[in-house]
Amino acid sequence: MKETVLLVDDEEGIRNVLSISLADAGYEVHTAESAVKALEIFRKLSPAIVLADIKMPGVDGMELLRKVKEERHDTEVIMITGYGDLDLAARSKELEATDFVTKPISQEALEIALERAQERIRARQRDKAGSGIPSFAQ
Amino acid sequence: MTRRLTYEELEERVHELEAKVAERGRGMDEMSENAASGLSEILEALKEIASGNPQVRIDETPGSDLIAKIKRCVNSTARNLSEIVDLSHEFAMGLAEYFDVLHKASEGDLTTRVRGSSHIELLEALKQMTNGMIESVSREMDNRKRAEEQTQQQTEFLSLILESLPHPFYAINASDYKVTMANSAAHKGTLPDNITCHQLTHKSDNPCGSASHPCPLEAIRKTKKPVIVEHLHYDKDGNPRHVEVHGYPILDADGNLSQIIESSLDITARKQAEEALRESERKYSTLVNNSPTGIYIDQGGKIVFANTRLARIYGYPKEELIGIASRQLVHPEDKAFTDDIRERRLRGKEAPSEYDARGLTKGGETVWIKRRNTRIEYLGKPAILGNVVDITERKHAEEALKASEQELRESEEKYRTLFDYDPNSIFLLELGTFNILDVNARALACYGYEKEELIGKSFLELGAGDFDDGVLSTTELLSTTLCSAHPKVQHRRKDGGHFYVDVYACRTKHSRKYGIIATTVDVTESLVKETQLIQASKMATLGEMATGVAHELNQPLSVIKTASTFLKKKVDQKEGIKDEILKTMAEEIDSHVDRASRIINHMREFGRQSEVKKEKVQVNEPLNKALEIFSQQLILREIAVTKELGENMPPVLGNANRLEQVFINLLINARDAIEDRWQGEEHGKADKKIMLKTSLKGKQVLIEVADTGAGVPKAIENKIFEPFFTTKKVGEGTGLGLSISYGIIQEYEGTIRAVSGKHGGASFVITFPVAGEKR
Repeated sequence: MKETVLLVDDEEGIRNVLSISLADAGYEVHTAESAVKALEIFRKLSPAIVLADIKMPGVDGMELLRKVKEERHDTEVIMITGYGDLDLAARSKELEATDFVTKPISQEALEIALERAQERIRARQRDKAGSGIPSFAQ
Repeated sequence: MTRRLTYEELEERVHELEAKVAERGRGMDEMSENAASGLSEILEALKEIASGNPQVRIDETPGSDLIAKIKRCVNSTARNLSEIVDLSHEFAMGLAEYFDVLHKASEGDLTTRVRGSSHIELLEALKQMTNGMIESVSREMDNRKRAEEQTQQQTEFLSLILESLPHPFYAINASDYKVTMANSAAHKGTLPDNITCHQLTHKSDNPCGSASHPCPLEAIRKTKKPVIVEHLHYDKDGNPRHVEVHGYPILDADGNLSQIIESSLDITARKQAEEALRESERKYSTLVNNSPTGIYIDQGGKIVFANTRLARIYGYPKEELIGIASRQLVHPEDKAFTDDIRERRLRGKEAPSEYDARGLTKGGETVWIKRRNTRIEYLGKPAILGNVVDITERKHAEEALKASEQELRESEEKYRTLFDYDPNSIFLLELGTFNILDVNARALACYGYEKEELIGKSFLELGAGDFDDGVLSTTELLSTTLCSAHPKVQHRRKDGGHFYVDVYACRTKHSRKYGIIATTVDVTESLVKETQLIQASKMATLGEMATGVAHELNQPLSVIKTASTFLKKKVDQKEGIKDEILKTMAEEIDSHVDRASRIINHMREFGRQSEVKKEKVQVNEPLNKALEIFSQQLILREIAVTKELGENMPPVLGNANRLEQVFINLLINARDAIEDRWQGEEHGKADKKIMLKTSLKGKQVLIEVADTGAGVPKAIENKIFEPFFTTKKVGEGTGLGLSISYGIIQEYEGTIRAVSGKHGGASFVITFPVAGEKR
C-alpha cells in the first residue's frame, strides 16, 4: 500500500503532470496551488508525504515546511527547488526536509526521494515496536 | 398950406396942443356947471377927432370964454389935423411907389426906377437914394455875373483835368478827415457822404499814424507845407497798392489849414521791382556763397572773384584768394596738364570742359577736384568762370571701394575654399521651395551625385522614404527661427544606399535673397557606435537577468521533463497508457514548449538591436513586457510589485524596445537597491516592494518607478545619469544603465529625474510628450 502524497506547486502544469506520474506510481495524490491551501488539506487528510515547491507567491515552501514539521513532525516533506538554488536546499535540510529535487524534476531523483521517504516511514513503523532513531541518509 | 411940415414938427404940434388941452382940463375942476356941457361938447368933438375925423366942428359961440376959447382951439386943431391927413396921403402914395420899385429890383429887375416927383422933401430924397442904389446894385450884379461865369469855366476845366488824371486825387477836410472831393480814379461811383480819407484808402475807421504809415494831414498841419509819404492803399477796386501820397495844404484867409489835397501815385510795380531786385541779389549772393561748388573768376591768370566754398576747399580766407594767381591752386604735378587746357581754351581751341585734377590747399595738402570752366565776359574783359567740386572723399571712397572689392574677392575665395573643402556636406537652399542652389564638393562625394544633378533638385528629395518629421519641422521652424537642428535624419545616396545625418539649417542672406544653408553631418558611424553601446548595455542587462530567465525557463522545462520521463518509463515497462492520460501529457508538453518559446522569443526580441526609427508607443506595453521578463527573479527575491497603470494612455513617440530597456534598467536598479537595503536584515513581506505607475498629466505622459530600496543619496543625485557612474561593486554593473536610459529618454524628448520616494527608497519619474504635441 502506497502512501498519500500532497503535491504543492503554484504551477498548474507541474501539478497536472506530476500528479499523473505519482498516481501511476501508486500514490494517492492530492494537489494544492498554494501553501495556505496545502495546510488546509494537510490538516484534513494528514498525508504522509508532502511534495512542495519552495518558490511560491504568498507563503512560500519554506514556511509550509516549518508549519508542517511543527504540526506533525513525522511528515516526510520533499522540497522542489529551482535550478541551482542550492542555498535554499541546504536551508530546507536544516528544517528537517526529507530531501529535495531540483527542477526540471528528473524521474529518477524523485523516485529516490520518495523511496527514502517511504523507507523512513517504514522505519518509524518498525520503531513503534522496537527502538528506532530517525536517520537521514545522505 | 404953403409951409411944408415935417412929421416931427406935426407931432410936436400935436403934443403941444394936447399939453394945452391937459392944462386947460386941470382948470376944469373949478368950472361951473354950464361949463360942463361945453366941455362935454368939446370932449365929443375931440373924440371924433381922435377917431380920425378931422372934419368935426363945434359951435364956438355959446359958453364962457374959456369954453369958447377951447372951442376955437378944437376947431383949429381939427383944421390942422385935416391938413395933416392930406399930406399923409400924398406921402403914403409916394412910399407905395418906392416900395414897388424896391420890390422889382429885389426880384432882379434892375431897370426899374422911382418916377413920380413929390413936394414932400423926404420922398424926393428917398427916390433919389433908391434909384442910385438900384443902379449901383445893377452894376455890381453885372460884375459878379461875369466873375461867376469865369469861375464856372475854370471849375469845369479843373474837373476835366482831375477826372483825366489816372491816379487818385482828392481833397480832405483838415478838421475831420472827411473827403470833400475825389476823382474817379480814387473811388467808384458816387462818393459816399461823410467818408473819411482813411475809410476810403485804408478801409480803416481810424486815421493813420504809425511809423510805416505817417498821416500826411498831420504832417501838413504841423508844417503847413506839402509832404510826400509812402502808403499801402486799397485802390478803388479793393486791391492793395503801394502808393506815393503827395499832400498839399489849402489855407484859409487867416492862414489856417482848412483842407489838404492828396494825390497818390501807384508805385507798386516799382516796389515789386525793387523787392524782386533785392531778392534776386540776396538769392544770388546766398547761392554763390553757399554753393556746394567752388566758384571763381579768373582774369588774366589772377583770381578776381571767389566764393566761400572755394575758399573752404583750398583752405584760404576768402579775401586772401582775391588777387592770387589761379595757378597757385593747382597741384605741381598737374600744372602742365591744366596749363595746356587753359591755353587751348583761351585760344578757342577744343578743350575738355570738365576734368578731374589735383589742387593744392594753403596748407600744402592735395585735394582732388572736378573742374568745369567757361569763358565769360567780366567787366568787359574776357575771363574764365571756374566751377570747382571737391571730390577728394569720392576719390578716397573709390579707392576704398577698389580695396574692399579686392578684399571681398579674397574673402569670397576664402569662403569658397572653406565651403568646398568643408568635411560636411553643405547645401544652399532657396527659401520656401528648398531647391538646391549651390552645393559643396563634400556633398557631391557624400551623396554620389554630379553637381548638375543636384542643382535645382529639392533638398527634401534627399530624404529616404519617411523623412517626414524632420522635413515638416524644418519648414515650420524656418518660418520663425533662424537656425534649427534635426538629428538622425535618414538620407539616401544616388545609388539608393541609406545613411544617417544630423541636419543643421540656418537662414541666410545670399545675393540679397533669403535662403537656407543646410549642413548635413554623416552620423551613421557614431550612430552605429551609439547603437552598439546601447546594445552592449542591453546585453549586460540580459546577463544580469540570466538567473531570472533561467528560473523562468525552468518551469516549462520541468513540466516537459516530468511528462516525458513518465511517458518513457511507461513505454520502457511496456505498460499501456490510458488515452486520457496521454492526452493530458501531450497537451501539457505542447503548452509548455510554447511557454518556453515565448520566453526565449521575448529574450531574443529584447536582445535584438533596436531600430533608430521612432514610432508611436503606448508606454504601458513596454513596461508590462519588462515586468514580464523580470517577474520571476523578483519573485525569487521576494520583491512584490504593485502596478497602477493609467487606462487609455495616449501614445508617445519613441521605440518600444528601447523603452523596455529603460524600464528593465530601472527595475534592475530597484531590485538591486532593495536587495542592498534589506540584505541580512529581518523584514516583513511588504518591505520589499516596487511600485509602477503611469498617468497622463496635461500633454505629458508620466511614468514612475519607485522602490523601497536604499534611495539615492543627495550627494550623487546629479551623478547617477553620468556614464560609468555606479555604486555597485566592481564587476556587478557597467555604470551605463542609467546613462543610456537618460540618452534614450532625451532622444524621445522626454525627461528623467530621481526623487525621494514615499517609502524611503528612490523614485524615478519619466515624462514624455504625448505624440504630436510639442514639448
